[in-house]
Amino acid sequence: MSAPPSPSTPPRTPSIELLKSILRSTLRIAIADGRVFLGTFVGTDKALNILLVNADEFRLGPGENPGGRYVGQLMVPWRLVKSIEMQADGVSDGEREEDGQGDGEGDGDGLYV
Amino acid sequence: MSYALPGGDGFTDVAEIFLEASGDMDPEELIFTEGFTLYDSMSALEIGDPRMDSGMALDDEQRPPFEPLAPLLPEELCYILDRMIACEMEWHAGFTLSQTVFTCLHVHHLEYISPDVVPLHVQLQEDPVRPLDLVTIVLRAAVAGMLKCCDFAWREMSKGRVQDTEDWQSEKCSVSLLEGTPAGVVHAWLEHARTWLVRHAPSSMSCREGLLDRILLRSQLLELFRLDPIADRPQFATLLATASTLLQSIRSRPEIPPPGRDSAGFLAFDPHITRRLNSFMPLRVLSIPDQDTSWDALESLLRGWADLCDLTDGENLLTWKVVGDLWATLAPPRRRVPFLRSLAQSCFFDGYRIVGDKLPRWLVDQFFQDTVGIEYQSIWTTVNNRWVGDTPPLKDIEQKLIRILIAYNKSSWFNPPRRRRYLSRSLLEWHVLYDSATQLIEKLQITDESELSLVRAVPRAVLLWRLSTLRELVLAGFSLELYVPDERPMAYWYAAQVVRRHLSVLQEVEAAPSEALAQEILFNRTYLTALESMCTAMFLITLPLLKCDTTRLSLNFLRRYKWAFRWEYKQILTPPVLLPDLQEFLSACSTALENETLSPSAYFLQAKAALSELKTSLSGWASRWHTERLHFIQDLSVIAGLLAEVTPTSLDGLPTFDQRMLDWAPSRYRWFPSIRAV
Repeated sequence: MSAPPSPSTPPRTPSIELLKSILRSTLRIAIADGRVFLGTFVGTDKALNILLVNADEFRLGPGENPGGRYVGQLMVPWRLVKSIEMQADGVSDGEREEDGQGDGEGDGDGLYV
Repeated sequence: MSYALPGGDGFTDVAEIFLEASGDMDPEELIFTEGFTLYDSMSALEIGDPRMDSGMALDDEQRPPFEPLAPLLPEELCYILDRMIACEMEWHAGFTLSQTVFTCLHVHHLEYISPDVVPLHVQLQEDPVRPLDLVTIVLRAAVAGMLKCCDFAWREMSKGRVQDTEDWQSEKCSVSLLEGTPAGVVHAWLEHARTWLVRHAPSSMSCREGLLDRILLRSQLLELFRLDPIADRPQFATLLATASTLLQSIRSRPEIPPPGRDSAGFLAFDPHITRRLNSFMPLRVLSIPDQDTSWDALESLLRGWADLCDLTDGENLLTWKVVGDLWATLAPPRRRVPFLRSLAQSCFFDGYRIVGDKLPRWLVDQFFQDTVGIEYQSIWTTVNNRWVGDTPPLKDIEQKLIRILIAYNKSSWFNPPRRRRYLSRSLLEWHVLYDSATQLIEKLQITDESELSLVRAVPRAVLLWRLSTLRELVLAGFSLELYVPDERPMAYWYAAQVVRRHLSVLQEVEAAPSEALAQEILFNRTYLTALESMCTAMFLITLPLLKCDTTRLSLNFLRRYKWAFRWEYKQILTPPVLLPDLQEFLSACSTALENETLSPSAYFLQAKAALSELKTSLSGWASRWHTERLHFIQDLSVIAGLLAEVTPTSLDGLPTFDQRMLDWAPSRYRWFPSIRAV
């Protein structure tokens, strides 16, 4: 991460306040090479390097890994982001794991249309 | 075709929130959730960075979607089966499954290529030159066979006798090795494939014989991995012979040319599969060796199995020691693959019995019989008759001996650094045993000379093993490139001391009743004489490497020989034999430099002459591995001759001797440098 040296500062604007409010939510980030990451949002910086923890990587397509694979903690640079979405309220990490998408072990049958 | 996104539909776009916040943030501002720090963020994998992002696909690595049921030409199938063997051998060589076996994409689609589930539309597209059965019957059986072989090997290696991530890689990346499928089922699939090739394959089909050999070879391999080399020895030997014949048959045919890059055969392997598998470490793409090298590796595996069968068939402990020491020194890598090293340890001691069916007490009998040619029973009787007091501590000595002999023989199949570490640890155990044996005979009331000679053989036998362990330990440091230049004189000087003492103890062993033991003693006397000369000569020519910084020398000495300074030695009554001594070494250096008659070149010539005598030596305990031992002796003889040519004839020439001529990189001469032109 292109990390600036100074620590976090208090929010000064509603937009930053809003961004802080979505910390610890589950984000779904699709990137340019076709991969999708699903993980818990834990931080970012002005350049929008997005930090996810407990993240899974998914590849969509025939013969790919619909069950995903666990990749842990990662940082996605904004330049690679194609779409970034937040999970709606009420679905925790625990429930995500129960869906078989939290640990890369799920069968993933429901992912194809 | 569109694909549903993981996580379902309950997501909303938040790109705007990020962009607006970014616009309002200070350039150096960070936003973290509570408890998450800048330090934590440093361990994140950066997506898009090829060094960290194992899932990243570069543009030139794009490939068409894999079709498991894509029909194959017989030649393409042959190619796939051959490359599967190549991948499997690389896993055995120590790489990960995801870099090797799992690059075969059919491994991940085994359930789709079963003949029972082939969709109708695929069956209707039958191509006469690419029969679908080649995939659903033959390839499926071969892939399952390979996975099951890996499963059996995995089970053996996971017993803890070889080290995971050090000797081999256990990581399965959540991919099945058919653990739940009985070997009989896979065997039946292979048999079905064989029957199909014999009876139902079109008679005009090319490569039919080649495919048949490959399927039969896989069947043999599966059985070999499944069976116990000791319990199933007769069957094992037959399987090995058949497998070798099949391998020769496959190799004798013209090599299958690699298929085109767009062919289904070529696309059956994806070296970048690691980016899709669950893996704990970023892995580089492995270049799988050419087929000839892979067949060589398989041939070595078969030979290693055969060696093990022969070893378990023998009745001598010393043969295990001689062969173990020899292989640990020679380290022919392909015959020392972790699977074989683990299997050798399992065969030697399975936790209950020695080499299949022998009680641990067999080790005690063999130890004395093979080392000094005395039956333990006669020692036991004499000690019991001459002991004054309750009961002689023979049980204690037996237990210690059994423990150390099992560990020693297993250590011959460790990787070299682990083996050396074990040897250094075992020296204290040998000394404890030596002390117990010495104390034992001191408490016996014996006046008869023959009885005295009998019981003295007990500590002598222990001492012989301890000295041999010491020699292996010191010399292994050269193979492992442990010694810095100014440590080399000390190491060679100390090795020469150890060998000299070994020779003198060996002289005390009286006429051996066993022919093999007599041959072995004769061999060792000549071999050790040569080794002593070579070590002494090396001590002399490396003396100029010794720096005058005694503090540094002393610190290096304490670090390198730390095993000799264990506090336990002080608790033992009998003083240890030949612990390294820095002062003694320094005075030996002075004495040597003052002696004008010493000639390094002459020492090497003496060694070469002694080693030449061994060409006609008899096998001794080396048994059928005597030829391999002679190859090793031949290598030593060669380097002794080369060193004799370049080293000075007297110590006067030492200051002008060009040390750069000595190449210390690991070579086939193991403990000695090779010569390079300057």
